[in-house]
Amino acid sequence: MSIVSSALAAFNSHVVEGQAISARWRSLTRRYLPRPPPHSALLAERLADVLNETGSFSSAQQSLEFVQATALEGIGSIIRLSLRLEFIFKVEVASSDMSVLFEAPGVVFDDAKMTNDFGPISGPTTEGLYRIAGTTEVGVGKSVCGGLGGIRRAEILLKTKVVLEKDVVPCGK
Amino acid sequence: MTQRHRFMVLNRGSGAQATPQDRYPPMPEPSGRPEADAEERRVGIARSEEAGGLSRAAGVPEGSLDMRWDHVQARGEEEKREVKHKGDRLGRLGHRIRKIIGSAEGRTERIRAMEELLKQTEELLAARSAELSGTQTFLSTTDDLSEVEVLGIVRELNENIYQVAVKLTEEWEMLESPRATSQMDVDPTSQPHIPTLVQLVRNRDPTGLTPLLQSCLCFQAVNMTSSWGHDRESAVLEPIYQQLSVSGEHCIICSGGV
Repeated sequence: MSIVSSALAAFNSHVVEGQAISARWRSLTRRYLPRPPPHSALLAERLADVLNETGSFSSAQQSLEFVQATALEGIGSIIRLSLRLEFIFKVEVASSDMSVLFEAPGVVFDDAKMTNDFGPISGPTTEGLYRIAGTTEVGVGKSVCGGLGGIRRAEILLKTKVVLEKDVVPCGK
Repeated sequence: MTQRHRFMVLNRGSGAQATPQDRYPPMPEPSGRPEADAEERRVGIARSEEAGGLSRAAGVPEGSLDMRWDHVQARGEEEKREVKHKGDRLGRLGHRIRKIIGSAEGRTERIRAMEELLKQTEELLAARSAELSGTQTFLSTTDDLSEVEVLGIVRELNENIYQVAVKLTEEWEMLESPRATSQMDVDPTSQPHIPTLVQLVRNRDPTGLTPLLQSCLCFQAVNMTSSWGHDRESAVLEPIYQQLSVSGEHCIICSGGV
């Protein structure tokens, strides 16, 4: 290895600028992209689909009207906050890659990433045996990419709050 | 030493009983210098001849002296060859020494050049490190919000999700619509392809509806926050960013010209 190569290797091993550069690129690029279309109608349709799936309404149109009449304002707030977070994660935060965390139903409970909405799990250690019924609160995670072949370091800032199947399935079923 | 031997030979030849060692002193040891040794041998032979004459005068047998003479001559020849061999060897060694000295000088010159190159590289490295450090500081402080502020917005989002889910559940409980009579009383564990919470609501259990709606809203919120672009052209940028964040081929390094 030549002197120049060894000097470059030492240089690369000590300076981790990948996060700053890539995040800066992401921020500058994302800042000037077209603004997203309104999601209110789409989100109301998703909620209506879920209610319709539960058999609560006789038709999809009826469930959609129910959602629009009941929660349109709240849905607007959710969309506003979600898009605000999107802008923060993509444009305003460059020191790390932040993201909202969500756990799909059926995933095995992991105490390192999740908290139980019905309180901490008591009794004998049965970690890994409980499955998730749903996510009730999103979490937040961040990762810093090393660049130049460096390691990506991940960290959870806010754990996802979940409901376990054992807590919602009636006893005896 | 030669004077001493000569005195002894003369002294003993004049009357005392002389030993062969006294009559014919041993050849001097090589001094390490071939020319000096040869000169010494020649002097020794001359002295031996002189001693032979004195020996004859003293009554020493002539045949013994001839043998000695031959022996001395043979040794002289042998030493001449040895001197010549040593001279040749000295010449070769001198040549090798000159060669080694020349090689060492060449290596010294190369080491000096390498040290100069190393010094230049270190100076360049120091300059680039300082430049990059300044840039890093500038880039890493471009966050417009702190983590605490971000977490506050996320908690507000979770609160809004909860409020919407609870409101829908309350309204849903007051409904008097059919509520899927055909799908009632289904064992939640009997249909693993349908989420547990959906099955609970199908069984007219309102406790499952709020977390079900929360889960749905959370999923939609995650989709909105994680989308990189909102049209086809913008979505292409996401894999580019992923590649950029791990490739390490960044402009600062490339523009360094190292």
